Amino acid sequence: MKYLNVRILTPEKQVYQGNVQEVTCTTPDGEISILPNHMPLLSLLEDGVVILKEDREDRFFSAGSGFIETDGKEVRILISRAYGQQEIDEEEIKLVRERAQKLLEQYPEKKLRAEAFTMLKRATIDSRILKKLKVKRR
Amino acid sequence: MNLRQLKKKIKSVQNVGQITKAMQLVSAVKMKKAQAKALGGKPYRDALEETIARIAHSSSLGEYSFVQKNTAATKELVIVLSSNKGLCGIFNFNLFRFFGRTMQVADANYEFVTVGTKAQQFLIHAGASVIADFSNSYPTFEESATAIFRLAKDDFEKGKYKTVSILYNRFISSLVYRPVREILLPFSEIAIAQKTEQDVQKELEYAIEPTPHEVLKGLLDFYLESKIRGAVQESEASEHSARMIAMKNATDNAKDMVYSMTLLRNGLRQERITNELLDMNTARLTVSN
Repeated sequence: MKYLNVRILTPEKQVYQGNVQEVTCTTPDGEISILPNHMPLLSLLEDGVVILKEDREDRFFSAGSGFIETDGKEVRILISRAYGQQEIDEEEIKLVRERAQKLLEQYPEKKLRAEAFTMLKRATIDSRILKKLKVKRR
Repeated sequence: MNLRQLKKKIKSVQNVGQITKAMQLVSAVKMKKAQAKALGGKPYRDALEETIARIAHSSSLGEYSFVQKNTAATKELVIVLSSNKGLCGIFNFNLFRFFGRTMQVADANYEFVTVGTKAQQFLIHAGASVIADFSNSYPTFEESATAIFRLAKDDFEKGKYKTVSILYNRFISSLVYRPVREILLPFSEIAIAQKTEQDVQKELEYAIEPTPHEVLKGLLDFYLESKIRGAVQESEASEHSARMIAMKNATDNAKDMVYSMTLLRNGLRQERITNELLDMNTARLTVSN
């Protein structure tokens, strides 16, 4: 069995390092999966879910935008932020979502709206991960 | 010095010692925090650097504005990171001495962006031209990293500067820091310097998605900003470590002073007691005779 050595790095810290069988992430052109011996690739990443397929289980990360780089043996994911599945809290997502929607309803300045949009987008990503986790547990 | 004055002095030295001790402890905590931040981001920055070095040769970087040298420009922009507050030993002094060794500060070819009032004061006093000052960012200098990045990038792209570099105290360990000057722009200087033989062997044709232009533009921006941010973080960690050491020295000095003055005080006190006893004895002898 071949493995990819994956590192997920954010400006704050190294979030993950380990060997996995497959990496799935979101690029501007759509979702891509990387398997061992993938051709050398450098791509932009969008806000989205990063899925790492380990031997026993899948790991989900809620990821910010950034880059992914691979040479077929190693994968480096450089992103602005990343939260593992354990760090996602259902209650908090609800709160964030409500706050963002409130902001959007009030039609404030452009900058705040953009902020609210990113908040909403992140909340959606987080809830998608939760949903996936629930399906798995059943 | 008489006994009362000495007692007063001991008291005040003790007070000062307490204050410096408190400052030392506060700095130690702050340094731990700043250090964790600076070191936590290091793998990220290193990985970015490696990535850039790797792809720099597999695609034509030359077409991007901030990779190439501005041959027409003669000026150099230097970003200086210092501290807002003093009482941190040779932290700022080291930086300024480094200036003196490496460049003519008052030269018209240099323009400065300062972070921290100490650098601002020093440079203005030395007659250098300071074009921007970011000393008032709250709560830490890190808040202004993005602003510094914008300023440097915009001005460089306009062709105003030959190079942009950053000067700061690099954090090496809790006790050691060293002033360094790193070149940020143009990129050609960095990418070429980092190319080793190993890299040449590793060199691969990268597929770049969606388009090389978009990716590289983003990547280079990312790199530059994280580099500035990293420098700011390291400088802050160094500042706290410098203050911690300075305050530790001050506390130790205060302790030494209190010790020697206490000896002196005891001597003086004993002298007075002996004198009084002598007086009493002579008085008794005179009376009994």
